Amino acid sequence: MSFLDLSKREVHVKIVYYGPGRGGKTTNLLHIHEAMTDAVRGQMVSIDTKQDRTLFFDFLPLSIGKIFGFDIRIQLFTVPGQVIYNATRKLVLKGVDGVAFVADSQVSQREKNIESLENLRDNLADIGVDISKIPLVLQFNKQDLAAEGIPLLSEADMVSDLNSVYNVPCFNASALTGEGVFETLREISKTTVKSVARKLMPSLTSGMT
Amino acid sequence: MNSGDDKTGIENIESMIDQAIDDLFVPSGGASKADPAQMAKVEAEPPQEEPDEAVDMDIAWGNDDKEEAVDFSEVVEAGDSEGAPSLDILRPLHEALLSLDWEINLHNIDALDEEYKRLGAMTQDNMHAQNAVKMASVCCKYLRASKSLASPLALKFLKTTLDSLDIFLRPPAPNLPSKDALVNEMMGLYNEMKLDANRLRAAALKKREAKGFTTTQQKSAATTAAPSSTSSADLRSELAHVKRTLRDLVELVDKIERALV
Ligand SMILES: Nc1nc2c(ncn2[C@@H]2O[C@H](COP(=O)(O)OP(=O)(O)O)[C@@H](O)[C@H]2O)c(=O)[nH]1
Ligand SMILES: [Mg+2]
Repeated sequence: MSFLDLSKREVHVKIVYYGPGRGGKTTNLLHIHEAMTDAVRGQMVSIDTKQDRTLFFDFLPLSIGKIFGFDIRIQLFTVPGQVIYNATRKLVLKGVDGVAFVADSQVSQREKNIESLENLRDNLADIGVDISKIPLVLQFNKQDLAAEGIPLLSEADMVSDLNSVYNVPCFNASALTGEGVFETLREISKTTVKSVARKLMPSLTSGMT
Repeated sequence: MNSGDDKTGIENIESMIDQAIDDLFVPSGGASKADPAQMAKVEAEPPQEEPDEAVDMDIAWGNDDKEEAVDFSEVVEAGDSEGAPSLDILRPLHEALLSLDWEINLHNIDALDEEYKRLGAMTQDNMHAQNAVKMASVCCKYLRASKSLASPLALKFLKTTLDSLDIFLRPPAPNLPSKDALVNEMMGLYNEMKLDANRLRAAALKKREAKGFTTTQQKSAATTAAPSSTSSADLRSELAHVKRTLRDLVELVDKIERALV
């Protein structure tokens, strides 16, 4: 559920980066944070264990500027992948407007991707959201590992594992180098902000002067 | 409400949104690098928790002959080892391994190690299982020393070990794969893991020589809210951070919900 502040004329849109632990969600956000100008990005908050993975979540606010006199702010969140933090994942999902699912393309991670997507579906259902109704994009991350001889899942396999039901936009990516990061962000931002705008349309137009 | 002419249609808004986002999220090659001070890094773990470099990962792998001394003579037929273990006795181990697979941290390593100890005590008459547990325990020791910097083969090894245990602990039956073949696979992986760990360690040593301790210094400089206590592995402080953050998050969610009413 997006947040509309009529008095401040702000719309807050919440996008969650979801996926298996170690898939590259935090790396996506780090890359976005590094590449954006200060005018756009807010302060990135990372709660971690000093390991290379998220214990809790990352948060990165972005401001996309004014549309129809409203300040549109996008809040990017990541969730912790590990099983024991499912409660946290649910909490972070609360009020979500769109999801970027970051899958790990390594053959060894095949089951974890599927498991995590099912977990997303279940957690969304728990908060009354139908996964097939919410803006969703898939990212097939770590493509660069192919060059190191690490076996990766083919795009066809990834699609059949993760996208045969939802049929949403997919992006190959290497969050480490930044490849595909903005393509993913752009797509999920557009579909999410639009879906929020559609929902808020009555308030938006009546709030205009 | 006074500008409710046709121009304010949803299509119009949508094209403005497309435009705004296209203008904004352009992967700019010459983008400014993030200033470390911009990052509000909240360290939820005392610095000692994580080795700064892979050089700290050196552990006793045991002498190489030890593996030869392991008795894998018993040959029994075994079965399908795909997916979760079929044996109830292995369920807790499987869960602990899953948790570790999601997140390599001290808590999860200890939990897994405990499960191996428990299993070891319960299967003293099973030579194959005992040897698997022994190797897995060494692997846990390695993980504890190296944590997330560990060779990815460590988890692969533990996973394979679990699959093997699922066969070792079943009563003999026809159509099961050979225990010897499983042992060979485990040994192969174990050795690969050792090699990889040593390779990582050598690389880290080289890096440390080249860089001195700058990495460590930079790391602590980027820390804006490190816990004051840098004592031992302090799960309490980690939990306190988690709690605080949870509270903040709940508040944020509440605020948003209130604003919507
Ligand atoms: N080779 C490679 N490594 C990556 C890529 N994205 C992330 N990683 C690494 O994978 C590990 C986990 O990434 P992280 O972003 O923390 O995963 P998270 O748990 O999903 O937040 C880190 O060591 C990253 O450097 C990628 O595209 N290619
Ligand atoms: Mg993360």
